[in-house]
Amino acid sequence: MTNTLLKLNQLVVGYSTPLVSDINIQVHEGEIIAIVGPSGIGKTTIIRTIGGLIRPIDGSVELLVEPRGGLGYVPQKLGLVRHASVEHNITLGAISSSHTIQQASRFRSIGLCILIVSLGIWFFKNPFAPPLFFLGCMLYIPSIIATIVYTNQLKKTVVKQAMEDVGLTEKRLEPVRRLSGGQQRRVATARTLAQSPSLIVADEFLSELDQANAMIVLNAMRKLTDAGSSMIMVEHNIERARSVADRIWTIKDGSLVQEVIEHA
Amino acid sequence: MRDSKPQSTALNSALEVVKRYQILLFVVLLAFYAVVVMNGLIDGKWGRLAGGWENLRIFFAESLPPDWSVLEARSYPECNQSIGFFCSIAYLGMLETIKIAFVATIFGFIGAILLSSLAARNLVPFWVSIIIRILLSAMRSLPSLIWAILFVIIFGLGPLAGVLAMTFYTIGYLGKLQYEAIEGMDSAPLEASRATGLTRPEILTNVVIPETSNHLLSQLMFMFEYNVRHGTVIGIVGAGGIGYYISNYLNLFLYDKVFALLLVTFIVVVLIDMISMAVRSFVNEDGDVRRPSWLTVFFSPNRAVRYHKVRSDVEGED
Repeated sequence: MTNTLLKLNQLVVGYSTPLVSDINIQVHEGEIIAIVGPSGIGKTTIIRTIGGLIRPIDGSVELLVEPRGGLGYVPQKLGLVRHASVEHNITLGAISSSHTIQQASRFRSIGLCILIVSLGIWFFKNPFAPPLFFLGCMLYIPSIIATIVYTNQLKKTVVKQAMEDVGLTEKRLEPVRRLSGGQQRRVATARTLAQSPSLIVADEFLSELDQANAMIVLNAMRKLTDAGSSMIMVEHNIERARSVADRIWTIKDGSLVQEVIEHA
Repeated sequence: MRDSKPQSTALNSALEVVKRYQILLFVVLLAFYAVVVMNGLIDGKWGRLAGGWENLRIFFAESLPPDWSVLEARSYPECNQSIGFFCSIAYLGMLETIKIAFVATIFGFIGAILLSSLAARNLVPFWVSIIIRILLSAMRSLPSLIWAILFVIIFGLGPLAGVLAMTFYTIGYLGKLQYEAIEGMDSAPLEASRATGLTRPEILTNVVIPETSNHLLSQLMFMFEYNVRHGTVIGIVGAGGIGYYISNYLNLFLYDKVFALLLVTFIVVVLIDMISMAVRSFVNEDGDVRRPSWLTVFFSPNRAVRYHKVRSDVEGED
């Protein structure tokens, strides 16, 4: 029995009124699942609820992946930092799954809080201010150095590999806003590759792509699913969904209908 | 009943005319109301306006020609520069004003970034943003002149009070501009990074600041220019800079020197304004133009593009 990554129990999603109700789904390791249906029916709402961006109206979402870096989320508008370079965007994915950087970030926040407190009590000539200030610096400065050093290390390994996988090594330092739509989608894919999450949630990530770009994106995603990641994708093209997915959910009359596909 | 029909058509046509010119009528009414309020303010003594011309004539007679001795080395303290201008009141005062504006802009920018990231509703919970917004608007509610008076009382005369006053006002003003820029940014990058589990400080440094950097830089330049302009004002309450000398000469009724200093201020502020405009054209949204040569720095983005296109076409033919 493979591990379950996501459990949706009696889930009702929607913004103020329920859009889709009574969702009971389990997602196992290595599965590719497509949510299909016409636009405006609540596909993206389900995805956003799974991503934790909106609260469910009723029921619960049980994410059995790591809280940090375990879930890869690719919104329809890709969510890239448009003014930053390709490398920066892919590094974002890499640092979100890095435990070292998470620890460093925690120490940095604690250090910053101590620094602010020490400066505050310095104003009132409290004798504890200088040692507190020193402690804050000792937490803050090394954690910043560690973050920079480790991020550079990630850039040389994971990020470089992900860029090679999607063929964007020459565009490394180009700002994302100067890239074409297909190239931007490849950047988003590389970001997810560098993150290597156990569950990928992608909204319409194959739409508006020509055949060549779609193949690059799909192959990169396959690389992840072959390694054991699961994927939930929203797709309006049912033919393409059939060719990619293991299971398909269709939304009919405000509830999910499941369709199992037997691959030849 | 029979007579009422033509009456109502007359009423209707009058209403139609009112409807057609309603905006004009509204503006005329507002202007009339302003005149009435003004009349109340000056107790109906409109004759003072006519008397003003004589005073204006006297002021210009006393201040023209400007006394350009403010551009020469002052007698005390002794000048040890080879060029006398570098010891002049105009140069020293203006330089101090620019220094105050520079320091205050940098400190204010750092403070504003921290506070504005806590005030943007797409980054923090509602109650945090409300508290920080109240703080920011409290800092903004007093103009830097009033802050300067406050800090002159606390820290005494001199540039320290000026720097602190301006820093406070800069935080309040720039903070508002920045949190509006942050709230205006696209929500997709925020959602993607939030769902993957990045912490708030990481989102701020890796997503929000790169994404809004154009706005932030443009606002930074605008604020520097604004602070140089206001640096002349806060000097008047003794917070350092060229305004200090202006207010000194005003108290001594040396209007010709005041006029010279005002002209110097005017020229410097216009120059800084132009430089700031040129720099801001680099970073605005549609100004994403590569400018390989310094010649085109002072062009608008569109003209720069055209210039480089023409150049590259010519070079391509060679």
